[in-house]
Amino acid sequence: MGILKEITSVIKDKAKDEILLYIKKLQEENEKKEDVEKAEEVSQQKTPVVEENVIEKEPEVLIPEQKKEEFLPRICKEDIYKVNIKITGNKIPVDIDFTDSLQQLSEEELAFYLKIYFYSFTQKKNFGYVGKTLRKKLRISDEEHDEFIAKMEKLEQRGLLITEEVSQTQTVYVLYMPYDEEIMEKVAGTTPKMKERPASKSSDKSGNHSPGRPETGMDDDALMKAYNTFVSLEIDKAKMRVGRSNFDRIYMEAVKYIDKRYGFQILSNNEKMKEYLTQYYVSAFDIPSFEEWKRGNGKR
Amino acid sequence: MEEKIYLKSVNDIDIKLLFCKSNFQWKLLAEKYEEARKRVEDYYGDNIPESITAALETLRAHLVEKKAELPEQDLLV
Repeated sequence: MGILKEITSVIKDKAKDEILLYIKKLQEENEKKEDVEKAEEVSQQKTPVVEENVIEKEPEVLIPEQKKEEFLPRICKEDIYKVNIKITGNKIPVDIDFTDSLQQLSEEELAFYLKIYFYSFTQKKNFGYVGKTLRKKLRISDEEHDEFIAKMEKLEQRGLLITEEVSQTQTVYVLYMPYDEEIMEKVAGTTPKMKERPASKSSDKSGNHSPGRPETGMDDDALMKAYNTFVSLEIDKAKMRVGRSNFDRIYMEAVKYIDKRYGFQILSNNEKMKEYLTQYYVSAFDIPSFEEWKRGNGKR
Repeated sequence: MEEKIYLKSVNDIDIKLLFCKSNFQWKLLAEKYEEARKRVEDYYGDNIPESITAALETLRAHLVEKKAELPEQDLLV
């Protein structure tokens, strides 16, 4: 019995040793596998980093190219005036010499210029606010706003349009049109101030000032013209503020009032009608009178 | 008889006013109204029949309404 016990204990000890050795081997093998996997992972991680760097490099090359300002030569060196257009009939006149110089524009610029040109004839004036109404009338969606501004800037570089900030939120544009005294009438006799931009600036002429603002040294006639511009802009603002339908109602009341107050014949007299209608709007929209405007330096 | 003729001329203007689409057409109709009124006044003096007075007043009200519906006149500037 004693011998048997000894034999079994020896066998157990050997088996233990064998098992321990086997376990050690397994552990070593596992460690080796893990090391190999880690090495593979590291190598895999390194590869996309290299690829990302390549991807990042592409825009680094492209961005400066996109930002490069394209030089657009001026095709029109004449001053741009605000004009009211008086046309009879349904035809829009186009100056042949001017169309020849328009050929220098790219297709995109030409299309955009013509859009505003045609719109000016329907509006019977070559100026207005740069805003939602203009985009809506030109069938330009909100999403295309940045593109719209970029196109305006291009036309500005070409000398075919000027924009002017009248307040922090409002900008007015004036489109160049070959002046035709038969159908056009200059407004207030001034060229609006150009927006400050780095390139393609022509030297401002002495006649430049903000429309609707009194300036020192203005004679009475010029002051009155500036005041009329101011009133016109204020009425345009009021129109946008109250909305088209409300403004139509106000116009209806104005016509009825003028009929009662000044008589029916005034309605047929364009000049008088315009005058009384303007007076009505000045009163209805609390627009400062000429004297108040002069004292207040044209500010609202 | 004259009363009917004057009434018809006033009513004719009122009907034409329904088809008026521009300030120019409106101006022509306004002139016709003025002419009609003047003719009535010249003929009747102070004794204008009530039916004609009422027709003229209605026509004037319609002219004013139509004027307000037409595109707005350009303002001073």
